[in-house]
Amino acid sequence: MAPNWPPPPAAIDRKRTIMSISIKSLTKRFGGFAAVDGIDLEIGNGELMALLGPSGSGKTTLLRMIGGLDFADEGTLLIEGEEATVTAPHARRVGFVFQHYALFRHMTVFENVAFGLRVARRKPKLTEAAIKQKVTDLLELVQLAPLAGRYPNQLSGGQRQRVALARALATEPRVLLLDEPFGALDAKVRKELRRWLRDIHKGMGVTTVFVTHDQEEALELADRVAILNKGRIEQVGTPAEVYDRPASAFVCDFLGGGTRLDCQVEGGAALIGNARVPIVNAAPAGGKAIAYIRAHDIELADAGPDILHARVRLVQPVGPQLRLDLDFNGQVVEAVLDRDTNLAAPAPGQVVGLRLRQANVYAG
Amino acid sequence: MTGRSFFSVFPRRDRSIIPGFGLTLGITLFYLTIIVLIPLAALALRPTDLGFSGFVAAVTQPRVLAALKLSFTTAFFAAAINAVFGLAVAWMLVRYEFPGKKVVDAIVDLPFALPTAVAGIALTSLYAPNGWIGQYLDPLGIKVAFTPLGIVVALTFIGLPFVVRTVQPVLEELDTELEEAAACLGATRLETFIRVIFPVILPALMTGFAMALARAVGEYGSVIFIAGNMPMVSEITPLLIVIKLEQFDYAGAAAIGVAMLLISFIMLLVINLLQRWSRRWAGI
Repeated sequence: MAPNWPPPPAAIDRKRTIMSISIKSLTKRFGGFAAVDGIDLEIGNGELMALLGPSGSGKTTLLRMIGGLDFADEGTLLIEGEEATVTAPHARRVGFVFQHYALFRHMTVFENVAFGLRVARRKPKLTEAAIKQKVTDLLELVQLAPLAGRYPNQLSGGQRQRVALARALATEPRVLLLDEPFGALDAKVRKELRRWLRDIHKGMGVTTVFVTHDQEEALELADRVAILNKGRIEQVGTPAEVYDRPASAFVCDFLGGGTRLDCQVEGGAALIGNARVPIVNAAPAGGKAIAYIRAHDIELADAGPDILHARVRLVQPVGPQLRLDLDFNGQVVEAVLDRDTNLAAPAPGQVVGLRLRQANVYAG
Repeated sequence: MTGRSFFSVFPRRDRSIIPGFGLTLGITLFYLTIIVLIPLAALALRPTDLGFSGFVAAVTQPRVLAALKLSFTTAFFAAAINAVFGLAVAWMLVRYEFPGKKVVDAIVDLPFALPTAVAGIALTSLYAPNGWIGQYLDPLGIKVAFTPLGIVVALTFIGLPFVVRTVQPVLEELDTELEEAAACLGATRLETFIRVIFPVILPALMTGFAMALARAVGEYGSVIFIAGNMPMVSEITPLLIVIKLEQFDYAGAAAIGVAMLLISFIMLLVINLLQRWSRRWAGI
């Protein structure tokens, strides 16, 4: 890596005092539609942040505003304490990796990575030897050094993604932004690249924000996750926080909320049928509510208190798991069991006893 | 798999799933032969009456050389002007929305549709020393009609659609993400155009340039009205060929024709090679 990475300790200490990205009531409208609607968000230095949400939730618009590709109608955006709400993209020193990579197809891999170094109005200007050194280092980092002379259309999707990343890192950005970085790749490559991106982030410590609609990706990769819905942030927290304590029904549902069942809240527990199910979140004090039961919070049980009975509709063995679709009073309940469970696999049509370990409950 | 491909064990490995190769090849060869090759062969055979030295003598007459030089230089300048302004027109038509855009888009094709003689007469009356535009240029000492400059104006007129119509689709397909990527990497608008956009549209621009050039070299109708047709000064090669024909010097006319053909062929070949080089990244 180039000698400036990682930055010397003194530089880190100075930067720690201010947030890397500070967003206040940012709003962006397209026509009458507010794509981003008054978002506040602080992203710490060196943090790996995921913006998670369904399509149309405003996550990509928010990312593009941080990158200077869209500009906010209202609100402010600070990057390392500097006002950046309307700064032109070429002046804000961010790295942006596009979903479809946006590589310059008429340039070799080497020239793609060198692009940011050649156009930069830095003083003193980098010598050709320094550019070559830096690009070679970056290509080593992304394990593409042997392909420096290739053109983008001679590369696989995963290789293009790595070129795009190396190109974005070449200018030593203050913030690295990635739009659906693994969206167009197949599952195996995606998994490799995820691990590899986390390693690179750890090695460089550059503040990174990535957009995804894949909850597993967000939870696996990010230090913190912001969940967006209809242009607003529903919840921000560590992957464990947002998964274990979803702040709203939307978050719970989006993070694999599982089955949605009507319930009655009584004495700190959810009454479903005549089973009392422990509530994990701060639920309404009483009355009718909606309970979300995750598929792996359901276990088969023959006897004991708080058992519900349901008919098996479908049994699907998927790798190490056994997925069940159950019919409970006309509602479909999804359950995921370990396949090496001691119980014999239930058969379709059979009536089984269920125990619900816990529920997230929200006002209906 | 070493050496030969897996499929080579099958005798019909070259059969494509797309049908009609034989049929289209047959049509192509037949069509090109009767439309292009036979007339050109006849043209090439005609000057053999003269013998090689006669051919050389016919095409190296000062008047012929002057006409060839005039035809190719004016065509070159006209195509170059069209490359610059045609690119600007295509850019505007692709990138911006404005009232009357459809009309402007249609106007671009008019030079295709207009009889060239009409264009020539219209341009001549505009640029004559007493014409609408000529009357303002004349006091400045700029003479357009009846000079080589007039020829360039006429050739520019008829060549405009070629550049616009070849560059337009390429610009339309250009992903705006490329420009955004360049901007994020620190490039200004100008740098983005020079380093990112221009190299991608260059092959199409060269195609448009070559087509405008080829069209301009052979243009006759519009030029003879505005050129003044003075031998050695503003007499284009196609006109000289017609003059030779009127004097029943068929072999001489054919010799000039062959010379034009050779020069055009070499020029288009060079442009094609340059064009191929400019899109070496496409990996074909």
